[in-house]
Amino acid sequence: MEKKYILKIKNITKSFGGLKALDNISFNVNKKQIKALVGPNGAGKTTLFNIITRLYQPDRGSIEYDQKNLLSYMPHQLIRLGIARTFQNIQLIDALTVKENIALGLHAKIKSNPLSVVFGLNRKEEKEVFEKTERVAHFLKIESFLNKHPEQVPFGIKRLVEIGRALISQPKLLLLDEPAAGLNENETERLLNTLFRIWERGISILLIEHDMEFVANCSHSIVVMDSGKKIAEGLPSDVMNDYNVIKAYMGE
Amino acid sequence: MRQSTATYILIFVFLTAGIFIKNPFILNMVSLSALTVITVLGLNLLLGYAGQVSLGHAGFVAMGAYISSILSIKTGLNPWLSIAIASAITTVVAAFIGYPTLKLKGHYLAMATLAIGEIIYMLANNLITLTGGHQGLTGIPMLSIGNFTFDSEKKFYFFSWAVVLLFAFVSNRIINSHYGRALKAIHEKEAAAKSFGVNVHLYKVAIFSLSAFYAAISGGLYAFYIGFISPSSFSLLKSIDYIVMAFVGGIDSIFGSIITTVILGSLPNILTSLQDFWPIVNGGLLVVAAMFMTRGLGGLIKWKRNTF
Amino acid sequence: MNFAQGEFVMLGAMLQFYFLTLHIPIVLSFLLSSLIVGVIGYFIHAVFIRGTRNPQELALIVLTIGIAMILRGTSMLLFGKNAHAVKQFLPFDSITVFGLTFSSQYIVVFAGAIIFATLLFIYFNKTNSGKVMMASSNNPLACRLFGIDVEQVQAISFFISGMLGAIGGSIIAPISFAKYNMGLIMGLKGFSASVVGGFGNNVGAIAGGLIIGVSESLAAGYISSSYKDIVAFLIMILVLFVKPSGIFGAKDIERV
Repeated sequence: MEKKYILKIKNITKSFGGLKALDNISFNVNKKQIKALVGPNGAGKTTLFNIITRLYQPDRGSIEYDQKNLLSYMPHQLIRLGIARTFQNIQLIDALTVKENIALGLHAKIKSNPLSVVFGLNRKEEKEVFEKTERVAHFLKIESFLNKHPEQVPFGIKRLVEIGRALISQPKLLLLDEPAAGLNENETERLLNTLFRIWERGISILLIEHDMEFVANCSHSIVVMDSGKKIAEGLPSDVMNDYNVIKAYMGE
Repeated sequence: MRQSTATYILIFVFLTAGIFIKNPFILNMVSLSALTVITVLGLNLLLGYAGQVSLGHAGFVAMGAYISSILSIKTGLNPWLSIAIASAITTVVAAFIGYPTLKLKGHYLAMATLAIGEIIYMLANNLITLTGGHQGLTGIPMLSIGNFTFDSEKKFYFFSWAVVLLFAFVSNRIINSHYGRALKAIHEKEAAAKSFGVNVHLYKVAIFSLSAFYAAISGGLYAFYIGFISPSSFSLLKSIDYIVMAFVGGIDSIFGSIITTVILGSLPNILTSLQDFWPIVNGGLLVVAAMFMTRGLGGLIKWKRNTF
Repeated sequence: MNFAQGEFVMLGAMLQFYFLTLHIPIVLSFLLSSLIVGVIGYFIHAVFIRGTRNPQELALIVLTIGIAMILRGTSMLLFGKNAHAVKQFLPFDSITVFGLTFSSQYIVVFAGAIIFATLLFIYFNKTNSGKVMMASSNNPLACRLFGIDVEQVQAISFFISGMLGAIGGSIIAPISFAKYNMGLIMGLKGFSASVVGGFGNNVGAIAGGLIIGVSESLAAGYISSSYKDIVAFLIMILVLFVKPSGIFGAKDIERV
């Protein structure tokens, strides 16, 4: 039977030294769903992202993705599985242009080997890579920045370039780490619009967000975390009213 | 101008200069610099693209030189084949060293390569029946293709710069491919690069082994050109010379490295009376470059970028 | 990681040799040379490490290699290329234990190792300033947030490591001689010992030093003295392969 979910997180626990960063976290991300992970700083959201993307190893628990045991994969293999991510602290490469930064997302899918590179047999493929880059840039409406370096583009565009680098590999699941952080009102508006257009293409999205209002506007389902624990999960309207969430946010 | 274009022009300038230079001393000096350039180009890949330091590249040059010479003298194997085998062995040894150390922080590779360099240096000194000890190994045959033998400074001059051209070409192709982009990502944002789909550890080991391959080729050609090798040509100070050339020239600049290597490779031969000051000069250059211009000489030029 | 550490050892040995030629009493020349090298260490940090515009790991490694070359070259110009014999600390040449005759300096080396290891242990585990230094090296960012002047702590750690290097150099000099190029090998030996024992672990460092030292002696005895260094380095490479965190090291020194 076809499963409803694309990602199933079960009983994930992770400690750093004596500090429990994640305590028995479980939830699913359904296919074609925008799921949001909210909570105050230090709630363990990014730690969970780093575990999903295999940068950290959990102490306990399992993650099932597309009927596979995700924990048996290495970080660099995830692109080929169809998982791509962005980072809270923007991770663009200054030595590369925006175009090359976006093309980097396709790296794992490039077939040319070292020998074909030395003999120049990779030209056709490189051309295709950069054609794809342009299509992604067109989709995100950032074509005019393609030949600039990251330090030469506005902050909001940098966030879109990161999303572009994740999108170019045509992922099934997109992980966005605080995509709206530091954006102004116009940029946030534009981001929301972009998210919906990505979702329309059938891509599932799991996003971390700080801004409750942004989350309420864009997600189908919300998981609330505090101090490494899941304290609520449900529809945005339900969760917004949940007492625990308000308490966590007010810091009482 | 694109950096790759400037590099090819520079190499062609050296090749044409060979037609006019008559003085065998200069021809010899610049040929030896060309061999050094090959090693430094390899080290550039490691420094500029994996962000790692090797303090043992003289050891890899020595492996290329000694293994190929011994094979050729003791078994009568064809010099070209000897160099190929020696370089293959050196590459495997480097991969062996790089595999555990490149998982760790930067200074581990530096120290492990320093140890390897010293081990090879001591073996060259002590395995007297094979290497001739500190007196060195003589009677290494000359390179030849069919009936054409590289028996004069002039002939070898053109040959050595043609090899530089070949290796600069290979480096350029790699740097300007998706591998170059991935390596730059590793250099800047190692953890994130994994999530872009880059197998960081594999690439680091590969680039380190490739740089050892460059060094071994350079060593093999050196042995068959000079016809004599002794441990003193492969000491730790040589490894540091290579780092100075690569770092001051610009860790990701082939153009800058070639110029710096030819200058720094030739100066000690011209200013022989200043020999004792050379370590201080080298150290000073490293300090200045590390403190104030981490992109080196090549980084001072604004290159046009490759576009598609 | 400071690639000039071995040069501190060399400078300690050299200065010890130099002060003794000036007929300065042995205890005083020992104190003087360790203090001077400590100050040199402090200045290296203040002028070079602090002055670096781009404090990336690669640049810092290359920078300390450059400093090592300058120290080594200067020492060669000042003291020459020869190995200098240095007088032993105790007033008698040798002792005989169980029929084996040792240079009396081995007693000093042994006692010195125990004394300074104990002092270091007390410093890092019992004193506030030692704990702060440990913490600053493990997590500089967190320490900065707690208002600790990490730069100042680093400067002090350069002073201490200069001093300790020099102490080691002047104590070992009567056995090993003082030579301008002894630094890098000394540094590499020290690194091997800490890799074998486990980085950032004082007990491990001593154990690692013993393992390296004993296997060197065994190699010298059973194979040939020219292979003793090779054995030390091979053991280090082997440990890097099998257990990169060292025999006594905690895990997790890998980058995340």
